[in-house]
Amino acid sequence: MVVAGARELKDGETALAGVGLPQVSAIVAKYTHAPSINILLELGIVEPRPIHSPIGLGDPRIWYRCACMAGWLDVMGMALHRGVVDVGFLSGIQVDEYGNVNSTLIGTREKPVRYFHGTGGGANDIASLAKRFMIIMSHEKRRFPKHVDYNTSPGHIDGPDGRMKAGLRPGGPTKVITDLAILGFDEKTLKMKLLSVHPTVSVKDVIDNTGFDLIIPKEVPETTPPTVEEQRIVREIADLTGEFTGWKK
Amino acid sequence: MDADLLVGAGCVSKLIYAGGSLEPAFGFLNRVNDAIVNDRIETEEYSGTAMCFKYLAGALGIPYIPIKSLLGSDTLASLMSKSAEVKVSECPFTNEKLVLLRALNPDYAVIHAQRVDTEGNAWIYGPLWDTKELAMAAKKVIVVAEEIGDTNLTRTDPMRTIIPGYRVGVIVHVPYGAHPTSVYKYYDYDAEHLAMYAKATREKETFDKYLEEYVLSVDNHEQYLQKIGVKKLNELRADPMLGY
Repeated sequence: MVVAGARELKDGETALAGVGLPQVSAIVAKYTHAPSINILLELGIVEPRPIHSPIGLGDPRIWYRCACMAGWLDVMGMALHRGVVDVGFLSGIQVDEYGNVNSTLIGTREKPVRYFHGTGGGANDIASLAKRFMIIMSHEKRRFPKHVDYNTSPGHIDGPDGRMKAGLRPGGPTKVITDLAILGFDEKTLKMKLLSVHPTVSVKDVIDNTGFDLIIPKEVPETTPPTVEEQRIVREIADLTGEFTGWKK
Repeated sequence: MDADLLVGAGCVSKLIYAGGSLEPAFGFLNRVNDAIVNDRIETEEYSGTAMCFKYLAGALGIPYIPIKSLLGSDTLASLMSKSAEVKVSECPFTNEKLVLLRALNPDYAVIHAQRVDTEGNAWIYGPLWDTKELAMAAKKVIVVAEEIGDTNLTRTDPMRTIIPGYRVGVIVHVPYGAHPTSVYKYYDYDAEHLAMYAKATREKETFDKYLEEYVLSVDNHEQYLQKIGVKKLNELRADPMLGY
């Protein structure tokens, strides 16, 4: 899953990675096919080159040998808000068919049943302001509802003019990477669409684990599996303990 | 973790923040979440950048600041339903939609610094988060520092000064003051202790036991550090090349 995510980041891009799986994918991208990718971290880190696995964004391991150590305002203000971030990378608790992401609560706003990360730092900013963004999370039916319980970070909101009506810059989610598949968004309707299934996963597995009607094309290719080198980077640098990808299990 | 501790200990009536966690490894701010779900605290939740912009406006002495985040989200809808000081408006020049955020000027800012000198000039290493904006917006700044040093050293390298002394009200010398979290170039985070805390904070009973053991029953910081032990503190000391 993290390798599939990494592959979606293009060399030379400016990428803003959020905490968790996104930061792992960004590291993998940097050390494999995208050596000149510029990774930004919301707390103020520019272009880090970690050699040890971090447990989160506040872990100094992911700041190692960065080019510039600044502050939130420099990265999230002068880069993201300014409009120079090509791609944002988020995770969440739920995502719906228009790519809206929930990191806040299950239940309703007035009566939450359970609270999670709240706004989760820069997630809403990334979704609102990056030229495009990607979502990475595990594929379960309760995590892929038709409508998220709470729209923390807006995707396409409710259709092709959703963002424009809200006053958001064009952009929004382009890919959703899960442990079962890679998904995108239909060009016309902006509803989530299946693009490829991972090896050993069937289209039925994906449908069974999605809580809304996914657009399924006539032919669904298989995702190219990770190469030996990509796996090595995950295991030796990006996720040594297997905490994010579970590779040690 | 500090927010979680304070909320769990019943010290907070209202939290203005941008969410958070104990990092994926350690889980959620369970005491904060529990208090929200059970209506024990008020909250105003902004995006991280919106919080930073609020402090920036406060630091600049301007009454509000526009931002292009929050539009179209439940995050904004929540704030408006709570009558938080947030408005949606149109730019007077371009007509584009803007969210207007009221400036935030806290009464106190508590800042952790690697080094502060006797005149209050604070050197802070590592990414700054929104530390500088917060300090400049606050009415009084309290600097908690690993070391207090001579101002002559400061003046050989003033580019390291993030908060100049004339803006600082109080300085406090607290070595290992951020334990169990890390201080860049000084010490790493204490993974064992954080895991223990993360487990304890899941339930009120276990959290209360943690609070008693590590906060309420100790008379001062030195007694707290004695519980952690010299061996552990030495293990945490940062490698100068790595910073952790």
